[in-house]
Amino acid sequence: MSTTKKYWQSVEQLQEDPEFMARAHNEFSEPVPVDEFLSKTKLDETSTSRRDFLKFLGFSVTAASLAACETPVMRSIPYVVKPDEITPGIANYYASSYADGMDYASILVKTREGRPIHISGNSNSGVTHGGVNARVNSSVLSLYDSKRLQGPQKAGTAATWDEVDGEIGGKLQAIANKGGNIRILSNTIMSPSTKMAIGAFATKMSGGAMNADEGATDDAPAANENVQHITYDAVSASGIRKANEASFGAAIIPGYHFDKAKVIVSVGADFLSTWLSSIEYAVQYGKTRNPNGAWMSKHYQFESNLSLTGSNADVRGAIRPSEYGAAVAALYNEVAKQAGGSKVSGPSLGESDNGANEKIAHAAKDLWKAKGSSLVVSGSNDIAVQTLVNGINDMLGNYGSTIDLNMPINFRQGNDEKVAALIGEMKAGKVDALIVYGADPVYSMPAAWDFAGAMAKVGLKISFASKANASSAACDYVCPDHHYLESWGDVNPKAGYYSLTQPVINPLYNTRQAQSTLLKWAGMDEDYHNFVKGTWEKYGYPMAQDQFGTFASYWAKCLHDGVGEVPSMVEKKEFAFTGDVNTAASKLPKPSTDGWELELYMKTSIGEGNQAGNPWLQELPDPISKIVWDNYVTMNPVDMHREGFNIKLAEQTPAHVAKVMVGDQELVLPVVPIPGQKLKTIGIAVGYGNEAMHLDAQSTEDLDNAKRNAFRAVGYTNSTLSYTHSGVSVANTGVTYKIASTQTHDTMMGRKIVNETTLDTFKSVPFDDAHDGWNPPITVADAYGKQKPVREVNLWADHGIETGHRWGMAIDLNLCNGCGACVTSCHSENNVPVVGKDEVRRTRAMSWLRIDRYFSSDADPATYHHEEKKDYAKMEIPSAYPDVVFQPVMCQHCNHAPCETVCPVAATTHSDEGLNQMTYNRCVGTRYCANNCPYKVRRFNWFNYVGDSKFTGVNPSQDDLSRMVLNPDVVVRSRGVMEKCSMCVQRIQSGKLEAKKAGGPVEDGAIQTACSSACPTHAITFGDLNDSKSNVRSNAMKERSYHLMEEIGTQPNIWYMTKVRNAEAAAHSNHHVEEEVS
Amino acid sequence: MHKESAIRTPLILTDKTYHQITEDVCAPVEGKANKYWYMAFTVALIAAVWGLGCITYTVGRGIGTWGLNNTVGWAWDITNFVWWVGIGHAGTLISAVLLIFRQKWRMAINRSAEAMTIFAVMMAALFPGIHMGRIWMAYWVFPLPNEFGSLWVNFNSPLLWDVFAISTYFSVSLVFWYIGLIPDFATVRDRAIHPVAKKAYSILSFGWSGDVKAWIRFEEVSLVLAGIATPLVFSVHSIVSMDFATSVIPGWHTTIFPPYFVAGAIFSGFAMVQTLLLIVRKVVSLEAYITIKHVEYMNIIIVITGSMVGVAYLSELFISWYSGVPYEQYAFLNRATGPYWWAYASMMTCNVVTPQLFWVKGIRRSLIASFILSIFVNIGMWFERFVIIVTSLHRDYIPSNWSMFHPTFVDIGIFIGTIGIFFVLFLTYARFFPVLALNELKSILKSSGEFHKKQ
Repeated sequence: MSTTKKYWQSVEQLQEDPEFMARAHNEFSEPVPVDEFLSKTKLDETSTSRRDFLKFLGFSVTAASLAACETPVMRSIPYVVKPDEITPGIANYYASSYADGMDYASILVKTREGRPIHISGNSNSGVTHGGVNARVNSSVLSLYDSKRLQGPQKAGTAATWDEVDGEIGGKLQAIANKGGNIRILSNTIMSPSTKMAIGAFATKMSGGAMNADEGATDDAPAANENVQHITYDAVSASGIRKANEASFGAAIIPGYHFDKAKVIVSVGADFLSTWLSSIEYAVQYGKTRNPNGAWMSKHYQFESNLSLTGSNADVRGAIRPSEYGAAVAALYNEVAKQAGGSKVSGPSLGESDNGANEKIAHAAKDLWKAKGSSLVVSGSNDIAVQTLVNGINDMLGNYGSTIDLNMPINFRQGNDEKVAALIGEMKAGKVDALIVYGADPVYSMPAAWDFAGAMAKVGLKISFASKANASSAACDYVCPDHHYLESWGDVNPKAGYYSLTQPVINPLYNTRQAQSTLLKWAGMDEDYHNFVKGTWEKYGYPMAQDQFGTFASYWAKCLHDGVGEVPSMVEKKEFAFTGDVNTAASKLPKPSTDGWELELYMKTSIGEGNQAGNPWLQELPDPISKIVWDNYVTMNPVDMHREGFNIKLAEQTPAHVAKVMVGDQELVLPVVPIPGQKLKTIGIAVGYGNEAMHLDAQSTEDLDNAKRNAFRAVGYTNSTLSYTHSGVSVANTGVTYKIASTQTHDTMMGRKIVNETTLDTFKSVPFDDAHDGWNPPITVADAYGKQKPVREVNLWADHGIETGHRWGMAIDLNLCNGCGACVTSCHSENNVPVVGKDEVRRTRAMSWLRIDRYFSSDADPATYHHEEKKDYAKMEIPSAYPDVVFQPVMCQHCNHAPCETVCPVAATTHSDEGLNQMTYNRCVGTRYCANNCPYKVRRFNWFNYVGDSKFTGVNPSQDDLSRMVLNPDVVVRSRGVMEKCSMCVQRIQSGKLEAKKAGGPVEDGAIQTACSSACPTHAITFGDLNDSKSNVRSNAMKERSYHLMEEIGTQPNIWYMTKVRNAEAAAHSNHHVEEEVS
Repeated sequence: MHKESAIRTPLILTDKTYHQITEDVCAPVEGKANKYWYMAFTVALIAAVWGLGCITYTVGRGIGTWGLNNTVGWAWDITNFVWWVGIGHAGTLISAVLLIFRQKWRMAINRSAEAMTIFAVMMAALFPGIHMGRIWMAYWVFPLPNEFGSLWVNFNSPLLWDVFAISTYFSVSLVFWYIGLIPDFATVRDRAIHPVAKKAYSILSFGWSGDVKAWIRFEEVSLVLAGIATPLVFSVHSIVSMDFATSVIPGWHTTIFPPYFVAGAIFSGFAMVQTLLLIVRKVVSLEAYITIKHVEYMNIIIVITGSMVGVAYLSELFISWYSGVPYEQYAFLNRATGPYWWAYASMMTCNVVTPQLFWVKGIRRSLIASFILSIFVNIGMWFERFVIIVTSLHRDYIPSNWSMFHPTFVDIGIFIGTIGIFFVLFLTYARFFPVLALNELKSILKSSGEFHKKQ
C-alpha cells in the first residue's frame, strides 16, 4: 500500500480552494448567527432565513438544555497536593493498641479517606495474636460520639485551653509551693510513657529532687509523697496481687498459659470474656480444644452465675458465691489427698443439688493426673481464696509451666486498700488537688465509700474525661482527653511485650491528650508523640540495636508492626511458694444460707461500662441471656416459678421487676430466667445506670436509672473490694417491664441443630456407624424408597460450582465460645443499622450474623433418631443446670437456595462463585425469600432507619458525626429492602482484584470476611472450597463436619463442625432438680 | 329452548311478567335509595377512609408499622389477600361453571355474585401491592421490556404466577360481568328520564340495540367467556396456594394445597354470596327472584365444599403423623396445642362443624340460619389462612428463630378498611347497577316462573 495516499472530503479540499481553506478553520462551516439571536432585535425583524432560524433553535435548545442539566454539587474537596499514602477509595491500615484499663488488644485500624472505620486484630502481637473482642472492635464507633466533650470546661461551661492551663497551672503551683497534697486517681495504666509523664508532673509539683524519668506509682512512691498516683479499678483484682505478694513476695498477676493446660479448673473466673487478659486467654484456650489434637483440655468451672466461660466448660458445678472459699478449700484438700499432702481446715461445702462436690473430686483427680500442665484460677477478689489457689497450683507444680511469675501481666494494677486510704484522706480534707483520669469513681465506687462526698472536700478537682460523666460533673475543670484513635502512646500489657498506639485521625474536637496536659503542667514540651519516641529511644532501642542501624528505622518498624516485643530479655527469677495456706483457709469466707446471694458480674458486651453508650454494644445480645439494651437480675427459672416471676419472656410477655436490697442499697431491675444460675442466688451486671452513657433506646417504660447501677452495691471486705453478697432480699414488685431479647426459645427440641458428642465417643465410634454414629450422613428416600444422600434427590439443576472459586466457611463449634466479636465486626463492616430496644423486642433485630445459644433439656431425646417418643412440651423447658452450646448462624449461601426461586423480581440470585447475592436496588420487598429461608437469616428494612425519628440517637447513620464510621464499600440499604450476610462480597472482590494485580492466584487466608477475621479462636474458617489446599476445604471434609438442616436439601456452602465435649454425655452429667418448672 | 318439569320448584315466584321483572330490578336503580342504604354506606365509608389512612401510613412510614417481624414475614396481609381472592371464586363459579352446566338458578344471583368477585379481587389485589416494602417499584413484577438489559422477572416464583393469575382473573371477570350487564344497562337507559342518567347509561350500555343479531352474539360471547373463566376457578386459587405449597416450610410444603384451597375458596365465596344476597333480597325486595331454593342450592354447595375442606384438614393431620417427619409432626401439634390453638379451634369449628349443619333440611332452608352460618364460615376461612401462614412461620425448623406475631392497629385497620371499601363499592353497585340479570331471568320466566308452571 502506498504511504502517500491522501484522502480528501471534497473537490474544494483537493484543489485547496482558498475560500474553503479559510472556512475549514471555523468551528461551523456555515456561520450560525448567534449574535443576532442573542441581540435584542425582534426575531421577525432580523434578516435570517428559515434555515438560520432552525439553526438558532437547535443550537439554543441544546445550549439551554445543557445549561439546565445542573451537575449535582459534590461536596468533596480534591487534594491539591495528594498525600503519598492516601488514595480515595483505597483503605490504609495502621497498627495501634486498645487499652482502656480493662481490655488490651493490639489492633489494626482500617481507615478510609483519613478516618478509621473498622478495627481488627494485629497478628503480630505475641499477647493477643490477632484476637479482639466485641468491646475492642466496637470502639471505633465511640470515636464518633457527638456527646463527647468538645473542648475544655471550667465549672461546666466551655473555656479555652489557655484559660484552663493558666488557672490550673497557677493553682497547682500554689499548692505545690505550700507542700499540699495532689492526687492522681486513674484506672489501670499500662503505658510506661504515661507513667513517666505522670512522674514528670509529680516531680514538678513536689519540687523534689527526683529522677524525672521514673514514674511515681503506688508501688514505688515518689521521693516526695505530696504527689501520688493511685490506681483504682472499678472491678478489682487486688486480691490476686495481695495473695501473690504474700505467696511469692511480689504483688503481681502472673502470666497464665491456658494453651499449655490439659486440665483447667476455674472457680468463678470468667477468663474467656472479662477476667484479666481475656482476649489472650480466649486465644490460648482455643488452641486446646481440638479433639483431633495430641490432647484436648478438660475444663471444669465452678460458679454461681452462668458465665460465658462456664457455658463453654466441659463440666460445670453451680455453687453459691459464699461457697467459693469452701470450694477452693475442698479442691485443695482433694488435690492434697492425691498428692499425699496435708489438708487444710476450712469451711466445708454443704449438699449440692447438681453434684458439685463430686465434680470437685473428679476435678482434683484430673488435675493431679495432669500435674505440671494444669491450671487453677479464681475470679474472687478475696486474698485468702487466692492464696489457697496459689497453694493448689504449687502442689500441682504449675508454676513455671502454665503459670509464669516472671512474665506478669500489667492488668488490674489497682490496690483497693490504697484507694480506701485516699478516700479517707479526702474526707479528712487532706487532699488539695485531685485529678481524675480514665476512671469515673463517682459512678463506679461503692455507695458506702461516698466518693462524691469525699470529693466535695477537695479544693481543686480536675477531670481528664473525654465524655462528660458523673465524676467530671463534680470537677472544677475538665480537660478532655483525646479518644485513643486520636492518640499517641505505648502499652506494656505483659512483661517483655510492648505495643504502640498511634493516631489514625486528627483530633475531631478541641481536646488534648491527657499526657500532653500533664507534661504542659510539668513545664515540659507538651508534644507527647516526641515524649513516647523519647521513651522508646532510651529504653526500647538499646535492646534492638543489633538489628536496626538507627533509631528512626527501629521506630518505623515498631510503628508499622504495632509491637516491639522482647520477652527473652525479661529477667528470670526463681520463686518459691511461701504462702500460709492454713491461715488462709481459716480466713476463707464462710458459706451462708441467709436469704439470697448476689454475685455482681460483667457482661461480655458492656464490661465495666466504659462504652455503655455505644449503640453497637448495647445492641449486641448478651451471649447467655440474648437480651439487649437492659440490665436485669439473673435467676434460675426454678426459683422464678416459686417466687411468681414471669418465666416465658417474649414480645408481649414482660418480665417482673424486683426490688433487690443489698445491705442498704436498693436496686430495682427486671428478673430474667437463666438456667444454670445456682438456686437461691442472683446475678446483676455492673456497668449500667450511668446517666452519662444513657441512650434513647426507645424503651417503653423506664426504671429509675440510678437503681440500675449495681456498682453502688460493691462491698469492701478484708481490705479488698468484694462483688459477692449474702443476706440479699429479692421482692417481686409486681410491676412488669418489657424485655427485648433476640432469642425467646432456648432448646433444640430434639433437632440436629448443634451436633454434639463426647470425646470418648468421638475417638471410639465411627461417625457414620449405623447405630451409634455421632454424625451420620443424612439420607432421604427417593421415589423408589431407596435411601440416597440428600444432595442426589433434588428437583433443581445444579449450579456449576466445580470450576473457579467456590466461597464457603467451616465453623468449628468447639472453638466458638459465643463472645460475639464476629457480630460487632460484621456490623462495623457492613453498615448494619442499630434499631433500638423496641424493634429488637418485636423480633426485628438487624444483625446479619447471630449467635444462637441453646440449653439442654431433661426431656431431650438421647439421639436424633426419629423413632423416639418426644414430649414436645417438656422439651421446651431447659434443665435447671443445663449444658450450653453456641452456634453462629449467618446466610448459609445455599447452592439450592429456597430464597432464590421465590423472589418475583429476581432480586436474589446465585453467583458462579457459590454466593447467594442480594441485589438491594432490585428488591421490592415482598419478603417471600425470608419466609422461605429455613435458617431465617434474612433481614428486612422495616423502617427508614436512616431518617425515621424512632432511631435518632441510636442508629449511627442518623448522626452526621457517627455516620463517618460507615464503610463506603457497602451500600446503606433503604426502607423496604431485604438484606443479609453477603459473605463480605466487597472483601472477596477486593481480594480477587489484589491477587489479579499481583498476577497470582488468591492465596488461602488472604481474603477474610469480617466475622472470620474478628474471631479470636479462629472458629470461622473462610476460603475457597475449590482450592484443594485451603483450610476451609480440609475442615469441610473432616468427619465432624455437617450442614445445618441438611435434610431440606439446600446444599449450603457453610459447614459446622460437631462440638466435642471432653465430658460424659449430657444426660448423665446433670442432676435433675426435683422442683417442677412450668 | 329450555324445558323444565312442572313439578320442579319454580325459580321465579309469584306471578311475574317481563315488565314486572324490569320494574322490580330497575326501580331501586331509578328511585331514591332507602335509609338502610345510607346507613350502611356511611358505616362502610368511615371504615374505608380509616383503612385508606392506615394504608397511607404504611406506605409512608414502612411495613414496620405492622406487626410482622423477621420470623413471621407475612400475617394479616397475605391472610387477607387469600381470603379476598377465595371469596371471589364463588362469583366466577356461578357465572361460568354453572352456565356451562346450564343451571338456570344461577341467573338470579350471578350478577351480584360476579360484582362481589370483582370487588373482592380488587381488595385482594391491594395486598400484594401494599405489603411490598417498596410499592413504588411494584411495576417491576410485570414482564415489561426495559432499559436494564431487558431485565425480566423470575418465572420460577409463585408470586409472579400470582401476578398473572390475579390480573387474568380480574380482567376476565370484569369483561364477563360487563358484557352481561350491557343489555340490562340498555334497559335502564331506555327507561331513564334524567339527562345525566341517560347519558351515563348510554355510555355503559355500549350502544346496545337489542336486535336479534346482537342477542345471538351475546349468547355466544357469554359461552366463550364462560369457557375461559371456568378453568380460572380452578387455576387461580391453585396458583395462590402455590405461594405456600412450593416453599420448604413445614405446614406450607404440601401437595394437598391446590385442591384444598380451591374447595375452600368456593366454600368461603358462597358463604359471602349468602351473606350479601340474604340482605340484598330483603332490602331491595327481590324475594321472588332470590328464592329459598336459591339459598338452599348455595347451601348445598357450601356443605359439599365444606366437607371437602374438612376432609383436607383431616388428611393433613393424618399425613403429618404418617410422614414421620418430625418438623411436619410438630407443625401440626403446634397448631392444635401451641400458642395459637385458639385460631386453630376457631378454624376447625367454623369450617368443619358449621357446614355439616346444612345436611339438615330445616337449617339449609332457613334464611336466618344461613345468614349466621355464612358469617361463621367466613370467619373460619379467615382463620384457616391465618393458621396456615402464621403458625407455620412462627415455629419452623430452627427453634432459636421461634417468635410470636401480634397485629398492630394498622394491620387490623387495613383489614377493616378493605371490608369498608368492598361495601362502599358493593353498595354503589347496588345503587346504580341492576342487581339481577334481567335479560337472563326473562329467558326463564316462561319455563321456570311459578305462575307459568301453574298453567
